[in-house]
Amino acid sequence: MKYSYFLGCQVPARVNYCDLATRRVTEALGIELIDLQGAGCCGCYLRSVDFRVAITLASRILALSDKTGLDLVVLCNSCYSTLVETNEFLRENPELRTEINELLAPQDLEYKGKTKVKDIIQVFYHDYGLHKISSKVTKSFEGLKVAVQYGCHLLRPSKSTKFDNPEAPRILDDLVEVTKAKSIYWPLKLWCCGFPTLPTNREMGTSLARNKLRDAKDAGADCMVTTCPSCQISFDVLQPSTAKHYGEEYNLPVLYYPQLLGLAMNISFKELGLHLNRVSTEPILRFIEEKRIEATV
Amino acid sequence: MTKETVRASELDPDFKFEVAKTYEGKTVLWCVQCGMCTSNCPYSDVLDVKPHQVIKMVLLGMREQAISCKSIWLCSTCFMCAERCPQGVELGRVMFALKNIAAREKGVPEGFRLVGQQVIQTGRAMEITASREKERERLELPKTQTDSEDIKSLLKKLKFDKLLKDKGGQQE
Repeated sequence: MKYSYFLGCQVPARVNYCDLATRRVTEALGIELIDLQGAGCCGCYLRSVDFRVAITLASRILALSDKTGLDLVVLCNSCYSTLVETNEFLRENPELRTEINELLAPQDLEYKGKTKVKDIIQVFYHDYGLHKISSKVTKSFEGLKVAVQYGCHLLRPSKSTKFDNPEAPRILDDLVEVTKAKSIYWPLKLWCCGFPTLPTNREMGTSLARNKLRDAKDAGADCMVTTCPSCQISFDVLQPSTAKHYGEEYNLPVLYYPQLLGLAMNISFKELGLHLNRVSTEPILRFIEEKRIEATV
Repeated sequence: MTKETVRASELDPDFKFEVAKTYEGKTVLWCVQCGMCTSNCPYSDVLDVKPHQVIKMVLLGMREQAISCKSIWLCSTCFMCAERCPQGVELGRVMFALKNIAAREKGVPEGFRLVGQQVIQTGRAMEITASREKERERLELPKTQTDSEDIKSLLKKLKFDKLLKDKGGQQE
């Protein structure tokens, strides 16, 4: 299994551990990721300012990927939806496609529309297969209560993203549960983490993250597991500042999904970058260690 | 929402068609004002103009009010509105269409201007600082590589630098 691999901006700028864990886990599974050279911004932020700018940047990435002849794997939900929606806009509007290709031509690039965009979660679930993943799991997280966080742009707009049932998704829940951890019910599960509002109104963006952190805690979560770097930044990197701002304490470990899967596959703490998460992930480790002790007793 | 008199003479009856002609705004005409979008918006309790009211402004031709209202820039683009709309109005996308018009005519808000400049300068929306690059080296992750000059020249052709310069930072 071989894919073109596009990191996006958020991961190298803020959460390198997402990249690290993904590489270690895919290596262990025998999934080959080849870095897409020369790629930059996918345009998602700039879509608010200028549609053509966003579509051009996204098309450039898709055109670079077209040259590799491989499916394109992304880590970031925003990259996923921007690229998938760009494919849709250019398929439905041939005149837009011509216009974009005229812009790309001097750089020896052409948008051909051949690239299939996949989130890493879809690679695990559909391409590699849930069953095969479960056969690689050697450690049990039985008893661990997980608040599963999909993030908006995998689920919605579902007509374009075609990821899962947008009202009752299962893909990430199932992937979490192959480790024997339990995906718990928490009322705000499907809601936004507030990240995209941070540039225009930090207070409002933070309020959404706070609501969700409190909700996950109230529901009894031991940790949160996300599949989106933006959510990871909102809940992990910014958790201490959110806690300080509201005078509250959450101490909720937030794991990027490959980190959880990696632990269950017996990959080491450090190789998964778990020491780099802003909120201590020690409680999760202690959890496996206690289990091991119980098992030996 | 502040109460103000809307004068028919100041309305722009073609505004809804202007929005519907954009790639992102084509579904705006289907709205029946049921309010489902507002009841599913994570910010509906704090926005002064609620999502369904933004659409009503478009449909009534309140052009100036629609592109001046803060709500369009506060949208978190979570798409819950569009997902649950019984009429299939892609409100998240309509918001993008309105923001694009507002950016041209009213200016780009400071937060977005900074992101825009970052993309022009580095080809990326977020700066990868020297310490982050060092962290990648330490973790044995490949160095990030961006064809920033190619991206810059594309943005120049689209006159993106001009859009940011002319109107950048004029909105909060």
